[in-house]
Amino acid sequence: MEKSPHILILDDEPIVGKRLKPALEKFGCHVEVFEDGKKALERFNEKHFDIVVTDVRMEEVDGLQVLEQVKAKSENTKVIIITGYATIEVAREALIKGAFDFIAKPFKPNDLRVIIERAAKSLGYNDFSVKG
Amino acid sequence: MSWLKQKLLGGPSVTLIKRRSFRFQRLLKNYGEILELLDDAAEKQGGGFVLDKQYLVALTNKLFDLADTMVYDLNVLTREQHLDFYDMLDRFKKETRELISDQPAFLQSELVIPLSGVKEFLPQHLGSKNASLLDIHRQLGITVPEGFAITYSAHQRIIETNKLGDFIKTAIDKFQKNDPLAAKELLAVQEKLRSSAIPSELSEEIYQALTIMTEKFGNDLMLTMDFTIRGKRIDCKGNGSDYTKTVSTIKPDKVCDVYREEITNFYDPAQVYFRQMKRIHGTAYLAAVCKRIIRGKAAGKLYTLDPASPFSNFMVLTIRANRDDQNVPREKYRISRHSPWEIIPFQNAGNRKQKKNDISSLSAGPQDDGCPISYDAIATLIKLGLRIERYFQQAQEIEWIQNDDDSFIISQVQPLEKTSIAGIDRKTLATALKKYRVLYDNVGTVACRGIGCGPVFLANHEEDIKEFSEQGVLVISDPLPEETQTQVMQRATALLIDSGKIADPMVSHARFFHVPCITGLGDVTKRLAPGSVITVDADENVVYEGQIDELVNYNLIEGLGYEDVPEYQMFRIIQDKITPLTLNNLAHPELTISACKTIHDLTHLAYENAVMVLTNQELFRREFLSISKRLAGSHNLTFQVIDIGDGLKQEKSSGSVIGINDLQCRPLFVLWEAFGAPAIGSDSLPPHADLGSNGINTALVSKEYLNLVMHAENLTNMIDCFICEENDLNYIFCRFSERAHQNGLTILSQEVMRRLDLKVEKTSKALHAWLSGLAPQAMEERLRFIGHLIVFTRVSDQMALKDMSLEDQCNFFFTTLPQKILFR
Repeated sequence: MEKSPHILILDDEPIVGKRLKPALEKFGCHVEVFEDGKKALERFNEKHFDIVVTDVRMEEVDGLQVLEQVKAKSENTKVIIITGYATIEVAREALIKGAFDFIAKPFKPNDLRVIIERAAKSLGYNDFSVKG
Repeated sequence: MSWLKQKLLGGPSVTLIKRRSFRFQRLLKNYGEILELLDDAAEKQGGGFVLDKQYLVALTNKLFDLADTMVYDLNVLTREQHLDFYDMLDRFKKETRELISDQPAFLQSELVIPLSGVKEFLPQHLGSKNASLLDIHRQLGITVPEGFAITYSAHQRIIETNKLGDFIKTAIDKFQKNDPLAAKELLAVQEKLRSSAIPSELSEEIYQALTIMTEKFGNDLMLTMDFTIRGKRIDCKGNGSDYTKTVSTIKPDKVCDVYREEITNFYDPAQVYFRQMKRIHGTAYLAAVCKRIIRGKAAGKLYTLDPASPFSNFMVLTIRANRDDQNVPREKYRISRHSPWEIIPFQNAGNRKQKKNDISSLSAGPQDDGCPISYDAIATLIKLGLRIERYFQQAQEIEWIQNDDDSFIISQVQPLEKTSIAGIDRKTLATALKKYRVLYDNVGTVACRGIGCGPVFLANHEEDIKEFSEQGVLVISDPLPEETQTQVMQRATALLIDSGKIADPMVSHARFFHVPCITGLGDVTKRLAPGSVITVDADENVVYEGQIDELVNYNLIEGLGYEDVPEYQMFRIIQDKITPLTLNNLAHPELTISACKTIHDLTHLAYENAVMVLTNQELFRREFLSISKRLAGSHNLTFQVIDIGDGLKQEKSSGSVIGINDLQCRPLFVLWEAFGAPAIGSDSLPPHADLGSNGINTALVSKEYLNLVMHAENLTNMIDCFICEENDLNYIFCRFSERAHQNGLTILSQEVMRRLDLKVEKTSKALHAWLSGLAPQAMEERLRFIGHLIVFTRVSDQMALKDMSLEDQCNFFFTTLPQKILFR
């Protein structure tokens, strides 16, 4: 098995991808960033991703729809929801639909990395670590 | 109180003072929350967090809600004497919300702005690329071509003057829907623009700017115009994206013609289609920057990373001597990024591969090898390039010109185009990071993101700064005085601080100059050896031992950088509108709402006006003295106490004099004990005669609440607090008037309160401190220390503390008190 997970990041705010991609690549992750939900799902159909990190509120395709479609195609893929509105309802709905975890903006990249590490380990990436 | 009011209300009413007290409490709490929000925003601005525009929306909405309530409460307290605060607040709201709305981020500005002498060059005025150029001129003192900008507002003015706004919008909307009539309507727009004059105010300003330049540079002046399109891209929520076009070699008398031609062409169907392809829809505008064309003796480009091999630690320099002669070949060199600069000529312009046996070090001077400029000049240019790169935290493509006097002018800067960069090996980066020892991992607070490396320079004293050279990591225990900060920021590759808060001016300076900075590390001055090389990753809040070139280079390519990040640009603009406290002379009797430039100004003024009501002795004497009781003790201090809810024991409801044992108000009890404690370092009682004896000292009390006002030496001090079992409701607010000629005591008080975890704000009039949310015991302990502090500052002269350093005075205060701080 590879040592690092393949991660897809989806957020319609470009700064999120710009900020997170380096933060994850430094730890050896393979990262692809999308701002368009449809394009992200097309890519997901082409290539397997271990982890999908998606914003919950986007215009055309929202994060919960992404969650549903990802889980429908790949039960093993872990989906982490980013929300700007840390409401319990959103979190509950996401978890019921199979999200691995969620995180509320603003957050430190390391906080997301810790969640990704858990997700990666649950997928068998036992050597993957976000600690220096 | 008037006879009629007495008749109506049945006499001076505890209910009245209760209501007033409630308003004031709420106003204070809201002000304290505002201070906390501003602190939080300052921390977020450091770049250590992932945030988006929604954070800015939520932040500003929350601030405005709190400010709204403050203004309402102020007007209730003052019987509507400050209705003008509403208008000012509405104005701030409107301006701020426009900035973070979904419209393209255009700021209304002057139509023509000279490139020199303007404080802010914002992408919203004249496009990112030009803003970057002027940014390095302003921040780093780098020479750039002179000229002026014709802003987006100018384009807007043309449209408004010719009443074309709706017509253009309709035509572009039709174009998007592939309506066949759309092209025809756009051509009609163009026809109208061709036949109309540029608005007179705009042409007048352009003419003035050109006159100044012609007078300075003579009739041979030639200009280049860079046009930048700015509009909203629909596939991302970033406000605005730039596309540029350059028109070169323009005579001054043709500037208006060229400008109008480009504005007209902007509505050409082909250009509208181009913008659609770039997914820029709807409203978009053009800005133009006119720059002087400079004929130097050499010119070229500097790529601060070799695009073909970005991890190779080389730059690429192209040089063409005598620009007018296009037949002179372009020279090209690879140059190492670290001194001593190894300069390697390319075999030919297209060949980027170097055979090992062709590499030669040209330390003797490249002129021997036919290079048109000297080694020293190349070294100067490289240092300029690296400064620019460090400032933007991104690899740069820099266009330069060498003057006849060998000085350099930078004519363009932009991030290295990512598509031209060879792929980055992530495994190399991840593997490299694992090899280096981590010295600090998420210990301090990121004050400014970015990555920097170099040898450690320890500055324990201000004089040490003179020895600080470029490309070093500055390590200090406390923030430096403001006078030395600018020169330091221009030299440091990173900044590490033992103590210091996110809102310190030095930390703000670091952000201003984009110097990666981590503060609050605790022991960095003791732990790091001078001269040892470290890498500071302030994006991740990690400090590594050693120089990690892979990380530095990766960041230069893939990092967020400081150019054209709409959210951080917006954040910076909004911070300027909400955070600074600009009111300089709060003591001025004529100070009015019109002096307020920020939300912080407005809310601070509201708070100060509310304090004036609560501390108004005449008002108290007139309306409430008769219902108060005198609290006296074994020392000379007395208070007129009004019970607004179980602050006194029931059996004391009659009688005009009470003692400490009659109190049920816990906060007052704590303070009273603190005032009466043996003087610090002495067995004698403190001279309470001057703690508050120049007026009526007042105390509004309930079981959990206290508002204490003490008048002494024409100064007024106030403590307002609420302490109960619910931590979220607890707060302490202090206001100590500034004492003339006793700046040392103010600084001491400030430091002591910071160590007690209060947020402190110093103005010309007073020291203000705020704390909330702790458990009751912790709140009471801090209140006790505040009481001791009040006594301490009165008696400190007698203890000859003024010869001690601030650190020693603080230590003396905390270690010689009757009760130690239990929470430290």
